[in-house]
Amino acid sequence: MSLEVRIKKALPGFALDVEFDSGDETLGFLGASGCGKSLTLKCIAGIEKPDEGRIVVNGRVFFDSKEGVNLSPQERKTALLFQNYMLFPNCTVAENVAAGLGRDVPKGERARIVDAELKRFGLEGFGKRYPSQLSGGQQQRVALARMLAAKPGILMLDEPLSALDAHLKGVLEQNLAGLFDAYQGTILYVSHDIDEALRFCDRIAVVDSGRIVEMGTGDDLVNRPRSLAGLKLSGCKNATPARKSGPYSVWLPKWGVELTSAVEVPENVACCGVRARFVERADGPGENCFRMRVDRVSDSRFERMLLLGFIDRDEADVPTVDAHEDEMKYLHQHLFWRLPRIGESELRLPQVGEEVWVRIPKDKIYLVTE
Amino acid sequence: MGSLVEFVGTIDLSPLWVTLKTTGTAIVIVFLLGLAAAYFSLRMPPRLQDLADSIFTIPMVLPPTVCGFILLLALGRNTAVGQWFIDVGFPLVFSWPATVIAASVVAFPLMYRSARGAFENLDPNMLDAARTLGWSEPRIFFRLMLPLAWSSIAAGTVLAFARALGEFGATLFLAGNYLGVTRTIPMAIYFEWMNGNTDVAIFWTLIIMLFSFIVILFVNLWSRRTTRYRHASEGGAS
Repeated sequence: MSLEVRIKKALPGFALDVEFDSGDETLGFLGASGCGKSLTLKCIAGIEKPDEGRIVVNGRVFFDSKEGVNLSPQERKTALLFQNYMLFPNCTVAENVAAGLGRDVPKGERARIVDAELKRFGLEGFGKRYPSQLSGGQQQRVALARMLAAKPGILMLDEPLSALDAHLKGVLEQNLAGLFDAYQGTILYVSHDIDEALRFCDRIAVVDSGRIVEMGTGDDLVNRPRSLAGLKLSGCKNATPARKSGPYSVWLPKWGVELTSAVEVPENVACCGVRARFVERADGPGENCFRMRVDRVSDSRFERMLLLGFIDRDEADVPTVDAHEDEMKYLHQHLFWRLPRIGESELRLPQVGEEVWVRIPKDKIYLVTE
Repeated sequence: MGSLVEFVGTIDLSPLWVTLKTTGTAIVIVFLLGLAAAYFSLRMPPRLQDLADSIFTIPMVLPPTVCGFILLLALGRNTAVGQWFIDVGFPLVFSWPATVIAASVVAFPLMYRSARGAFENLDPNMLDAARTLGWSEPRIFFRLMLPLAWSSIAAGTVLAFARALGEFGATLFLAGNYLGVTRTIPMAIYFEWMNGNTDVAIFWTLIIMLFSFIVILFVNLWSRRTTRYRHASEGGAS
């Protein structure tokens, strides 16, 4: 069971150029919307035609521009799971689940498969209903049942959880995790959510502007991101342009400060990232310690996010900007700091206008080259 | 009451049969051709699509008399096509088939445009999902596109039907006014009134109003029934 994809496709203002191989694993495609991750799935499914390249699924050539092979979507029969499920509204649940069964499947066998899939997804007794009579979560399970009943050679899921609210998501994530464990073969899972990808995927490919910019385990992506897109998609709140200023130091023009790194700085460093939760409180001046002003705070259930302005910043490269002048530039000059609200008394949390000293631990900064 | 029966008894009812036959035949032709034109025009390259769309829509904007005149020039005895049909004993002008042709040409754009709009409104991802499940193109058309677009297509059919039923100008040019052959109800209303038979003209007017109303009501009821899955929460399957 394997998948080999090397494709190029030029669209107005966008070029897809994707290369990867995959075995019996769950491979995640992580990227912002419009980065080309869904387009890649559509190329594999045969809905979109690449300009050139080769797609081989489980030893069967789906597409090869050199040999002139281009199987139709029907021949590929990938049963791709779309973002909004694309259940057929005029067909009942049972008809939807049976949609991917070939006409050669006898009636009795057909009913048996449909019943088995409905049972697997806890949809017994829903067979005669129409999709519009189901909740979002039930619709999603019908879509999964339809995909599995079709027995595709690979499973491809395009943001299957994005249309659900948070509560349902938790339950369905467990459904999916069980399903993926039991499935023998390649699974491609497209998402823009790092936690979803970490939960399901053995490897994660970060896609940016039509290219895979990095590919590795979830641990690699979270602890050793290698690209700006990887940095941002792994949830790193602070990512700012950087320039090498010494063997172990980088200059950050937008922040107007210099940082010391625990590892040697690569020659072509482009960006520096710091996770908001890794910023520490400091007592006073020291290595990577900065005097900051709390400019904004926002609370979620368990955490407080603080927006810190550098008080002693060097304005040589980028002069300080006020929020009402240019909101984006203003944000780019600030450091995000995440503090837990649980246990810590609310009174000890920094408030707006307060001055605080923070340290950016030198072993917790990420330096990326693209 | 008795005098009414007596009055109806004096009227030659052949325009009703001609109209029913003509409109019935024309609507079948228009329904099939309109759907086919909509389906295939959407699969053409964009530029060709615009050209095809203009050609398919033009009978709607031209005055019916112009349509009739052009058809007469194209299908009359002066062209090879027209002459050939006359030779094989199936003349396309001043004959019953001419009423069907006139009604079809004039009603066609209404059907075509409704069907095309309905097909354009379908989510292309839905059709792609069916393809990746192995559905052939004809199966997608009959099992997905037609049912999902059905209410718009039904509305288009009603419009086309109404247009075919009321067709006058093109029919007059192409088919003429032969009692029992090409005299449809609209034709009868005009010529009876011209001859001073206002009562008969009013009779035909009432008939055509009643008939139109019944047909439109029927199509609306039927369309609701065939799209029941949308109103599923109102009862039924649950």
